Amino acid sequence: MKLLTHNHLRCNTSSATTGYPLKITPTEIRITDDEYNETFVKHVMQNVNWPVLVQAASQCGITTLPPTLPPSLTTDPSFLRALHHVLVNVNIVSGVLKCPDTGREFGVKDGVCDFMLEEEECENVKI
Amino acid sequence: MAEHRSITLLAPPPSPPYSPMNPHSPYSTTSPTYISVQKLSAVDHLEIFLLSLPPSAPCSCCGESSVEELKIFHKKNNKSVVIELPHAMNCVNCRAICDRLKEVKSAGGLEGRTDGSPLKWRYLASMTQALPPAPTTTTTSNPPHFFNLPWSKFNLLPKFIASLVPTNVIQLKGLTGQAYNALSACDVTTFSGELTGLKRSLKILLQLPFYQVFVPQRLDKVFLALPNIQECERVKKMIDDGVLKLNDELESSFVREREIIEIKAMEDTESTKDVVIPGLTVVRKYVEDTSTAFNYFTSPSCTAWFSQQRKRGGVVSRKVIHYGYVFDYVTNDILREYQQEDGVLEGLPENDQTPWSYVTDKIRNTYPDINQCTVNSYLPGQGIGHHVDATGFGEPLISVSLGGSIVMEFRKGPFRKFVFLEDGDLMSLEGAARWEWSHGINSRMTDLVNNKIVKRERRVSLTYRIAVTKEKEVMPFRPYVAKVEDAVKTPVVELEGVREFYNKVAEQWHHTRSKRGILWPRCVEFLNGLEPYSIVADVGCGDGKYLPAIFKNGCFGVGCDISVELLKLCGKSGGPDVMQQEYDKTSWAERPEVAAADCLRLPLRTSSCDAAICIAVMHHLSTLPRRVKCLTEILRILRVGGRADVQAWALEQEGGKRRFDDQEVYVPFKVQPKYLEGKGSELGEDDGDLISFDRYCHVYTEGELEKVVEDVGIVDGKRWEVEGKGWDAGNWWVRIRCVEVKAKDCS
Repeated sequence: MKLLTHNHLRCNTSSATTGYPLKITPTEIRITDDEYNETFVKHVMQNVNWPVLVQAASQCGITTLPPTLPPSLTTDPSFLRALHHVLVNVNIVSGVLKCPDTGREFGVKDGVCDFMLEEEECENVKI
Repeated sequence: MAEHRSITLLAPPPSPPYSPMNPHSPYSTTSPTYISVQKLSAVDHLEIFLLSLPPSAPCSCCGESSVEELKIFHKKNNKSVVIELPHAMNCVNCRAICDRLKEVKSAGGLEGRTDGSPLKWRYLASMTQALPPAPTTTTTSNPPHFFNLPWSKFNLLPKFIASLVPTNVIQLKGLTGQAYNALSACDVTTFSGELTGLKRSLKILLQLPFYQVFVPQRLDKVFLALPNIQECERVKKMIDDGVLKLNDELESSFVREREIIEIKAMEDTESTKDVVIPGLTVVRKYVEDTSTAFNYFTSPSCTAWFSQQRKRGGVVSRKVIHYGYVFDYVTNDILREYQQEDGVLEGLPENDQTPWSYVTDKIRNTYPDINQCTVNSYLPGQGIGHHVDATGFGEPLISVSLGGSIVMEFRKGPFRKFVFLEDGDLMSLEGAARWEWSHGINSRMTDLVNNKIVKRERRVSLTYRIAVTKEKEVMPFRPYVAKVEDAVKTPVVELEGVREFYNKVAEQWHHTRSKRGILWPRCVEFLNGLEPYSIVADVGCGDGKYLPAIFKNGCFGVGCDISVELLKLCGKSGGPDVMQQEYDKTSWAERPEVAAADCLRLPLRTSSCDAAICIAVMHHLSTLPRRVKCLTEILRILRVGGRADVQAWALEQEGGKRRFDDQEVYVPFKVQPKYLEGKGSELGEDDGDLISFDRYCHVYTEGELEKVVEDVGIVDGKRWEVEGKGWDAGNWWVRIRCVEVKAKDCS
């Protein structure tokens, strides 16, 4: 579960209002060493929710991201490299993701997060 | 460290003999001799190099008795290869090598380029014959070097190192990836003027008369194979003196034979002799007279070989013949109506119909049901990728080995077993050995057996199988009778017939469906048409079959599925080998991004994805509101302009294999009992040896999918627009695009 993915995840129960962002409590994190890809970072950066990313990174122990994203940084190569690393190389192997609205926790095991819900938590699908 | 002002180029490439020679004389009496071989692919070049050289007689031209030095040059366009033999053409050793080349070529070795064009080779009277017309003024101090020394980046090549028994391999420790990339990308002819630093070192390095560079995939080592020990020592000295300086830590070491083997990490068959695979039986020397059959298949006049059989991603590189039923490597199934060009489906020869039918008869005595045989020809260096044989075949599988010996590798999860097979041995697979363990042969030139290096020779294998005939394939269906369900909960029929089904059969499903990576071509087309670096959601991803295709295009894939068991088989965890290879190629896919979630309740943010695929999911939803909800969720997660590809089973089928009598059906899936150990088989029914599981499906009629799309309506200011639709091989598909709702659209 990479931080890039986490940026797009939300709680899927019917009682959550937004269910976003999910709070990470990691118990095991693995850092991989994937090749830097500049075009990918630039493209993906446009859709990433920056404050959520900063918060998620700090929940995983990375506190070096700036709280806001000044436009000058978006072309700085060393910044892009660091951003790529944070987005793609930080993997949550196990831990818990918690919904900010309902407090419902989703476990992460072996990198796979479990969003399967009990029937009571689902919306009604009307006939 | 002192700067070297003048760089002495080492041993300049053997100077082409510009002195005039009689080009018409068939046999020259001076050395060296040049043989130009055109249309030789890089892999074959190595085969020449590693040809076992004939025992040498005293050489008439130079009096020496060894023929060790074989210099090989590639042309820059990699279209041909020039072999330089340091002897004259009329010398007995030279002739022996040429004869050996001819022999290997006619035996089918030296297969030429993969485009199938035939190999051509000829003697050159001199190197000038191979050169472009020389300019009139050739007063340059460096004789023009028209043949680039080969910089072949064979990532596979460490496999060949073990065949280089002489110790003229040098390892350049500390060569960084950056330097390596610089090395492999540069063209020495463009270097000019005063060179310093890395460029200077590169130029020196590139003008060494070495054979090959071997670099493992991790780029942490570089090996140079040099013609002889003196060159090795010279390179070593250059590095030690700092003349050759590719980075600060560059140091060199000779690689000894032992190290070569270790570097290659070739495992000895001894290491797995205690591993027992149930169902694996080897009978030594089952066939006493192997030469009749072997000679039949390897003789140049044998015309039975299939030419260029297609498979996913190219062609099958080894030669194959099929008898009885033809196996199609693209669909991984038997072609039931295949006919050869002359219109006859050739059955399995028996009773002296062919020189080799005595082998078939002997096997059929014990196993009369055998009705299919595939003959494979393996040249030294060829292998076969790991696989479990398709479910179109029953058990046992019998394989007879003729000719050279080989080591077959079995794998199951982290476990391995090596089986050494020699001429005449029979190997039979049933039960776990046939269904649970995959088998394959390493593509390399040698094997390590009981601490001895055994060189590979030409081998022919006959694999006898029982093809499941057409009649058995028609599966009975039990129509599903819908009950009035409380629409809030997941209907029981889906809980049992979809979620529990996939959790139970996950392993067999993965092995037979996804392991070979057979993907829906339209979906692959859709994925390839996406903008690179898109975020793609795979709704109902199963075992992540489509994720490699998503990553291959540079996109970022996120998958969801309700079956936790299937998700466990994504990527590295437990998934065998075809997927493994796909994943290894892409850096992001070491652990695919998947989550357990129902497609009706996706854990993704609104408008967060650029594209989505929903393959073979819609037919598992039992009521219309649920189907609408699924597409609503996909619409919600896509940004405006995002596209989706949806596909589901059609009621309308073609061909005899499958027929749906009703839209609501249970479709059986048969599983070997041993796959289910520990998983409980309460859902299944006994069907002879296989346990049958039913999965619930609602198959779509023409136009039905589009109606569901329409019913989605407007969600978050967005709606669907149909871009394309159709029927393809038993499935209805739609391609839909998420568009913004303009004020005038609202009704």
